[in-house]
Amino acid sequence: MKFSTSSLRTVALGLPLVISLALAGAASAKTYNLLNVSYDPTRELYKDVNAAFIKQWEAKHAGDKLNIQQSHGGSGKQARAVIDGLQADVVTLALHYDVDVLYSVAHLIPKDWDKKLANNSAPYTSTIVFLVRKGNPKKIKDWGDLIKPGVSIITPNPKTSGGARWNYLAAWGYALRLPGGNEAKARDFVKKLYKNVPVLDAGARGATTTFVQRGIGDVFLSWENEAHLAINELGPDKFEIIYPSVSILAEPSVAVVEKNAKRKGTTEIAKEYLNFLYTEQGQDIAGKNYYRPRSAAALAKYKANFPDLNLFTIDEVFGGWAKAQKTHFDDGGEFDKIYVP
Amino acid sequence: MNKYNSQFKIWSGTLSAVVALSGTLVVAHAQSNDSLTQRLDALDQQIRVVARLNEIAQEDAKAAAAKAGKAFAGEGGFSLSSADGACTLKFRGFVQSQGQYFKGNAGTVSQSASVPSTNPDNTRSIEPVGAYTIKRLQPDFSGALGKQFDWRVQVNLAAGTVDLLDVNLDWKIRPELNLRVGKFKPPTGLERLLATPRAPFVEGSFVTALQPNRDLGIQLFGELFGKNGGQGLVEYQAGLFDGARDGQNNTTDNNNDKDLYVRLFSNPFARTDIDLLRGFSVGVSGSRGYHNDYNSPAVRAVVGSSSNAISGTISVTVTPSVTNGIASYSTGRQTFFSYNNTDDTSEGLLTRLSPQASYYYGPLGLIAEYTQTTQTVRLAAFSNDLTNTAWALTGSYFLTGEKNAYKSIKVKTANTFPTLEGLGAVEILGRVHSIKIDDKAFKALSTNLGQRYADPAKSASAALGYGLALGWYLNNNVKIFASYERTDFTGGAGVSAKTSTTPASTAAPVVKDRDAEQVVTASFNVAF
Repeated sequence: MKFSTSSLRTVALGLPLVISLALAGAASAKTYNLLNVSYDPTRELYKDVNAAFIKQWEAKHAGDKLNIQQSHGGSGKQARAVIDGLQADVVTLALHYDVDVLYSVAHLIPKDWDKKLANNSAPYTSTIVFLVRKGNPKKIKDWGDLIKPGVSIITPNPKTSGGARWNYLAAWGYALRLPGGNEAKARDFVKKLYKNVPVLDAGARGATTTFVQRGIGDVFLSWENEAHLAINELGPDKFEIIYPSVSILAEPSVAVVEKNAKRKGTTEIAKEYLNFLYTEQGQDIAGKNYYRPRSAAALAKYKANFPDLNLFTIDEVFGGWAKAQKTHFDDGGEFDKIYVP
Repeated sequence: MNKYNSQFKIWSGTLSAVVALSGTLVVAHAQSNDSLTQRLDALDQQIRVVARLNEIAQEDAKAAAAKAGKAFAGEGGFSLSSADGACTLKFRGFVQSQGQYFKGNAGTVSQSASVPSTNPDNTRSIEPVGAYTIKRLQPDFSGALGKQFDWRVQVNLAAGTVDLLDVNLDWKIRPELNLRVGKFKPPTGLERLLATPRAPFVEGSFVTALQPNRDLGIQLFGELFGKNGGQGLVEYQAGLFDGARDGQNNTTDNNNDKDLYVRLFSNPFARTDIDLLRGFSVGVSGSRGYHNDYNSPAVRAVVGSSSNAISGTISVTVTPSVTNGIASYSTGRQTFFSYNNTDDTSEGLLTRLSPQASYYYGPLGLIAEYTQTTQTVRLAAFSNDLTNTAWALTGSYFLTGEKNAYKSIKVKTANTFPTLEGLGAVEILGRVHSIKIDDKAFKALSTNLGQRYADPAKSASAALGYGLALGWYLNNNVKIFASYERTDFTGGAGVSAKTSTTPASTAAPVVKDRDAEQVVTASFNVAF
């Protein structure tokens, strides 16, 4: 195809002008949008984190604007949504495995994503505790009390909820560590436990609603921060927290969804955002929201909220998340055999 | 004493028995209450569990519905959409059925060599045939493929054949910058760019007749100076097209020269608080490109000679390809101007300039446009730039108070006939428009007086049309329309100069004005 000289001249003069006009607005408007896809109980945490980070970031980038959107749901569901195209810049999910599938299934993040940040990219920890009604009418003190007849337990579905997988594995680990404990006894223990579960919510926030708002059940297997939030919201005269003799060290993981961030031009901001979680300010916000900070200073500040517990890790008892996921939560795994609705 | 002792024993024994019995009864009663409370608590829990399970089931159903695709049917057409709305398929359409009734001898036919001696004119007027026709039958499919890509396919089936109108893909990069490729309306005038159901009259004005209908090409477009995601103050379109002649629905190209179109249109007072100014818009469009249908470059390439060492000189002679490529003009009902014959062809630059303005205020709407088309036309050895011009002023007013607008209107109260609760929307319209053909088109090019681009005794050199119309929107989809239009012509009838070249004609044509065309048009329009 050739164009006449005069046509080409007109195009040469006209189109750049038009494109320049079109892009002029784009050059002057520096507004960045970040999407943090997280799990159910972190709403309050990231509301505080976002406000603090935006303030700090906009002070450093005068004239620019940063919007951070939050998305919450069951951790497993959220990971699936990102794989299916939800344009997350960062994920802050309940467990290592749910972040890892972004690499293993969709290659949205690098294989070594958990080496990009300190503490295996888990900036804060938590654990599983028991939330019971005031006065603890069923006298629940430890895991063993949960399988007694007549005890009604609220916990979400471990197929969809990260928190529920921590609950399940904490119970399994407790049974294994009992004198004479073995896999068969642990399976039997967990099976009895789930027989006492009348409602299986999809996520931790839904389970909180079931126990706290709807008044169902005697004990709620809860994230430590969710238990504190429930007491803060409804008053210490309604609920109390029971710390079992042993529980699991939950390490919620975070990562930049590099493919999305690169496409959106937000990689640097996303990295800054996650690094902010490790700063003293970020750690303080975690502690304030009842997540156990990694920082010694922040942990000391909020010591009263975090009693010392005998905690075991996934690696110690289950050989890592990948193995635990395959053995217990994949289709046809232990949970499918144990739980029959 | 013993007696008292035994009585005491009896009484105390009885009292102890009564107390013991009472205690047993109280304990039994208390135990019964505890049991009842436990049973009530258990029942309460069961009820709560059932209610919660029901609540979760409803939430799950709602979540599933949010993920499911959606089907929609309404006055805006029919559509299917993915859950997030990013992928859609829309089916819309426009059907226009019309009847025309002519008054007087508005039609004109050219006579053959056997002109009756009683009628020496080269052309004669006849009463045109009024007829009921399907003017437009236009299914329109469009949709989105993700948030950035739109597509559209629209055809017209009214003639019994598939007439491809629009086939295009839009890449929506940002409000200021979008890309459209395919076949569509080039950026020209306001009336031409209107969606057909919103066209004020069944036939376009003379201004629109001087603009191309549809063409194939690539176009950048967008809105500049938008604020908070709202409408921009300036819209622009700029594109390269194969090149269509006036009024043409182009399907192909025969040369490598492309037409460049640019249009800027501004609504400068869009954000003012002054209501009277807010609806004023003004703009201009222009195009330029080479149209050479006399002897296309493809044909020229093989004309001439070449040589090589083996075969010597090879001469190739090709008869020049004459494909015309120039427009004729009509009122939409009869052609009143056309070039003499196929020896007239485009051969050179075609430029158009179209200043345009519109004004909407409440029920009032006005469109004013002007178009000037200049095309180099060749006849034998003669090549001239011919400039034709047209202007049009169209006004409309909703008697029922609807807000007038360029793109669409909303009927306040749909018609409820046979009850009288709703009338629908009633619009009155008026139009004045005119076209002037370049005088050079009718002048003799040589001493042979028959050698002209156009025959003034067959083609009118100017036309002035004016009309009134009434539009009755029964609802947002159905409109009944009736109009009366009169078009006066300058020239276009009489006796032609002889066209023979041997010997050269020396008899000048006798030019008379064509009879005015008077037509009543009624149409029934369904758009969805």
